[in-house]
Amino acid sequence: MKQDGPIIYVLDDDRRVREALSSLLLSVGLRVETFGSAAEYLEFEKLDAPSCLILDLELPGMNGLELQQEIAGDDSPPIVFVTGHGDVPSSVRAMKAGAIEFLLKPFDHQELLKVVDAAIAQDRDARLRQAEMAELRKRYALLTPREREVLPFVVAGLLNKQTAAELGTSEITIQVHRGQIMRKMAASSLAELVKIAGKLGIS
Amino acid sequence: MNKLSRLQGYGIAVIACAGALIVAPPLKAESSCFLLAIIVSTLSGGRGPGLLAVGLSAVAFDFFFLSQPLSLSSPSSSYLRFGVFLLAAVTAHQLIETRRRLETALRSAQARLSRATQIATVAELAASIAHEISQPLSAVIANGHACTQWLSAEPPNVANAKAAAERVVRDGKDAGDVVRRIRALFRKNALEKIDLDINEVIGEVLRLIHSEAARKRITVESDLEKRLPLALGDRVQLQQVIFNLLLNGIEAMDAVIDRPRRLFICSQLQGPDAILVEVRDSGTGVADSEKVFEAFYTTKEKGMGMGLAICRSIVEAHGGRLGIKPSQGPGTTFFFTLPLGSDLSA
Repeated sequence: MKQDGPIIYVLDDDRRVREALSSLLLSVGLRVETFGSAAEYLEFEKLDAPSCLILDLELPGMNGLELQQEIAGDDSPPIVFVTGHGDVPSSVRAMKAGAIEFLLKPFDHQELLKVVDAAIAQDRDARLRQAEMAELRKRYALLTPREREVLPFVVAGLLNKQTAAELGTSEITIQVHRGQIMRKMAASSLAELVKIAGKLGIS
Repeated sequence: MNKLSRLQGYGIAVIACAGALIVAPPLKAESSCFLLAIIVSTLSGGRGPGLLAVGLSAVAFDFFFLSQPLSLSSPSSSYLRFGVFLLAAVTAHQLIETRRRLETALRSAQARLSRATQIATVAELAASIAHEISQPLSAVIANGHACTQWLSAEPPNVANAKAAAERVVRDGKDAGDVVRRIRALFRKNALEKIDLDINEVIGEVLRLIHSEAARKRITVESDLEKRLPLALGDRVQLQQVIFNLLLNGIEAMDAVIDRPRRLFICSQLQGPDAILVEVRDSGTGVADSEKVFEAFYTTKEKGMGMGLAICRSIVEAHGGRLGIKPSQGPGTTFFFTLPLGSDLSA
């Protein structure tokens, strides 16, 4: 078992289900943390690894759907709901709020593992994107205010001369700014710079 | 009246006719007195005594009140009178037959209804019961797969596989227990009073409603007095009573959003010879604490108004009482009492 491997959070108020899922997931080489209530889960300091939350719909205190709303937005791991009741309205709500899957107990282990794999893959992608975004933001932070002013004109495809006219400065100055921008943003071509700017929401 | 023996019925016929004979002359209403005697005899004794009274009346009338007893001088009026007497007896007999049939029909309708409410209650909880079973079943399946997975690892992890297999057995037994409890709930038996531990019965029902309560965000608390003597009762019927009371409590809290939803059940000894069980909810309360026990009275949209009526009849059949306590604060407190079992030392 790798220390940095994916981790599965299991949140179910039934100890039997927690133990069983924990053993099953461990046996296929995943790391597992189990919780008996939403409060326990919220208190837990999440590990920095691709993860997935297997969440029971019916919980004492805060139920599964409420927890889903509570943690929506904070880089919460993808959620796989499991339930013994499975009424249509709750499943619709859960899926609309972004759950990966809604499994009915008793569920097939292969189905569960497949869904868990998909959830981890999704979380891994999301984490990569997040890391990339963080890196890009870090680079953007290196730009001077003037360079940030120049950037939109560059990625909009304006010539240095045109940009200079727009900003009321000389073409040479713009050329220097442009060179700095390319270096600081670690862009090897204008095309790449445009892509990076797109990801940062600059146009 | 129906319980009179046949002999008593005939006795009444004779006495009634003798009475009619005695009171008829002063009243100068012979026919009416004898008719009354016939009707009384039929209603209390049935067809046989009725016919005896008809015969006695006809003979007595003929003998004591006609100028020429047993003569054939006025046959038509004698026959007419006899006909009227007979008609009165037959009509009275028909009346009691009809009443008896109606009572039987009513009783069987009540029995069917009580069965129907039972089914309705169970249907409401079918989802909950499915949950109760699927929970350990999920665990069994997952543990089973985990077990094979541990064994097929290189090298096999026997310790983990063994632990998983042990959990399979444990959780499988749990699922079996649920099935056993449900079977007991469905069983249709005659009242079978045995010495039983009421706390055990309460515990079984609590396990059945556990997930229904959790689903509705209700905290269930219990305060069961330890070392309670055994009560005398029918396990299945008492389960139904407790089940009904708890379920009513759960439903009474559907509309509650401004305070904690709490369901509380406790058991204790009351006086020297009874056990008291209380079920308290923090629901909307009841408007009329006697009316709720009436059959067909309901405050629920889909209710039939039979649940509490049946509960009360069950508790009374056990020699106990079921009622509502004057409440302190919001919600309702139901209580029922049960007599102690035969073995008081337990």
